[in-house]
Amino acid sequence: MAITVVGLNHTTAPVAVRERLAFSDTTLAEALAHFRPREVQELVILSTCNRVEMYMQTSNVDASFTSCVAFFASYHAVPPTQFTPHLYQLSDLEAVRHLFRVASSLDSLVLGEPQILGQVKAAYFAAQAASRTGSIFAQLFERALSVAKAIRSETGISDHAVSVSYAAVELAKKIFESLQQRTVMVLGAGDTAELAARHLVQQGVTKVFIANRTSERAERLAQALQAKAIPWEAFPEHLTHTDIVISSTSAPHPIIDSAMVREALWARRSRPMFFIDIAVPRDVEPAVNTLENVFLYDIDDLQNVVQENRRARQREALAAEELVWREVRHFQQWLAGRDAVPTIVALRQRAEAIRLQELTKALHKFGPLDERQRRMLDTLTSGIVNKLLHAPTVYLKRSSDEGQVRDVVHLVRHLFDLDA
Amino acid sequence: MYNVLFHVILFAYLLASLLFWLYMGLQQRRIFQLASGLLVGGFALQTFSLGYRLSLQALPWWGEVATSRGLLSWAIIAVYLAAIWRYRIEALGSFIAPLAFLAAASAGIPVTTPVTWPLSVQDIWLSLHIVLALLGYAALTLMFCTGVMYLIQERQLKSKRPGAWYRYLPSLTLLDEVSAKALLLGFPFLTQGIVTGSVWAKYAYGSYLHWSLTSLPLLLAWLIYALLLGGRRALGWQGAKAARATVGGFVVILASYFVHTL
Repeated sequence: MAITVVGLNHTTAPVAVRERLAFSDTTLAEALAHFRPREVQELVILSTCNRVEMYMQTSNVDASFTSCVAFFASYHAVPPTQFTPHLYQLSDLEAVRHLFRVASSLDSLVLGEPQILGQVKAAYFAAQAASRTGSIFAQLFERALSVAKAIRSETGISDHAVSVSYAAVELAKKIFESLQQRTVMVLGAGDTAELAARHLVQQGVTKVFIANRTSERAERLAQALQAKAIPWEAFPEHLTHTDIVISSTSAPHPIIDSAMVREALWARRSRPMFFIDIAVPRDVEPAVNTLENVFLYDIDDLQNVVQENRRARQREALAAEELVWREVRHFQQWLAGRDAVPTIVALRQRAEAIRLQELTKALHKFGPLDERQRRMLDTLTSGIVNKLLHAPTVYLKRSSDEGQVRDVVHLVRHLFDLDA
Repeated sequence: MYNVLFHVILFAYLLASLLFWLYMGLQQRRIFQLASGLLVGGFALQTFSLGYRLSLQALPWWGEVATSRGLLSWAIIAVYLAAIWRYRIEALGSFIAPLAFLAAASAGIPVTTPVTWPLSVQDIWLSLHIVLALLGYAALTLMFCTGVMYLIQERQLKSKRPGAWYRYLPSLTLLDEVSAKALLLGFPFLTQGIVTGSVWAKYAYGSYLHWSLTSLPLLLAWLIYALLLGGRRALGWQGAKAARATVGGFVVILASYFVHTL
């Protein structure tokens, strides 16, 4: 028996291949029901936009690979030659480690992204609903989810924003604490500006003003964001009650200069202001950053922050990998203990059966014996059996701590003919 | 017993300070909890030792309180605990715990000539003066810490290279708010301390002015804080300007504290 995973992901296969092998929610249930090769006892199918993976508890690792290829080819009607070069297979501890890394987002395109945990959980529940999981996968996936949660809370892998618009939101929170009751002004109606504004609204910003040179676009964006469109000429006077300015116009020269901001600051009694300038060429004069209580980040600054955050996530990933290894070893021990205990029980039962059988025969031959003599025979035979079984029992128990239990179990079952 | 207890407290504060710094570097929740526990434990012991002194009744109770060793550190931690309970600024401990330790340690420095408290220490006015001034100092210590934190965080944001400090420290708005609250709390105490001090001087020496020679820095600090309070209220001083005034005022007040005690 072995745990194995067959699949492909964003590093091994281009999207053109991934999309052809992917399962939707409805086809997933179908696939779980239809993929029933003889060697596979438990099955979970994980299909996201970045990966398609079949996790299997199997009696034959190689046969299950072949079954997977055949199933992919027939179910999706894709010739095997188109996807087999992109497939990988990992087995035993490597497969366990892979699942733990996937669930913890260590194998993701964006390191530390939060969705994958939910996707792994959903994949397991779908398989459970289709009655394709048993006790080993129940334990395996429960541990995968808990290691992922531990990594999220104990390392900073998800703490650092890795997109420009999220980085801007994070910075805003380090200036303003809460974004509720803050006022945002969006200058220009570009996509990135819209995205940043959306994030801010999600964080509780209540008032958003939008100014654009062509008022129709401003109106349209205003509707999408439930914001208020203001005439382009009016934006300087609105600076006074604006905390965060997102600027992305196509103006060839800066539209906001130090004098303008200084005036606004005076009117707002130096309450802090945050300028997010994502326009190229820039919309806000760089000198604005030198004003007290004013913070200006242009697109390069934000990208630097994002890059630094990526590096920070990679540093955190090192700690996370260690946690994964530790949990893999714990799971291995659990698996081993699971194999050893029933073998010890079987061994004891078999020996006891033989002893009782032989004892009955002997008692029959001896003829009438008194109670004391009977007890002595009983003690004698149990003593011999126990002494003989002591060594193999200890050997089994110790091997489960050392992780080579499968071979030992196999040997003991064979030696004592326990599977007969 | 009183001496041993004092050294245990001192050690708890030192260890808590070191752990808070370790927490700053490693960011592990358990270290923070351990440091907080040590600080609270030290604080509880110090409160107990204060009660113990009161039970001795060598002096009237106000005299006991006022002459208790390390009372300033006790007040600083009391203010810190109130602030952390209200605002949950985990980074605060790294800044304020070392100051509490230093305050306790400076009270423990063996003096070559044993301090003989003047008879007038039994005077309730002097005791009140000391206690109120210490509470004021504690609030101003908190303010100093938030001021320093503000300036570091502001520099992080302005430099556009936010690093470890940036993550560790809370937002500018929050720091500014705590600082403003601490000023509102500390300034009246400081003022009262000065007024009771001058009243006591009038009784003891017959002149309001006698104390002013040693307390010149204190007056200067009071002036700075008065300006800051006025500036915050009337002119909307906030953020970096207020933080710099806070730090400046504290340096002056530190000088006045040492002039007073040494």
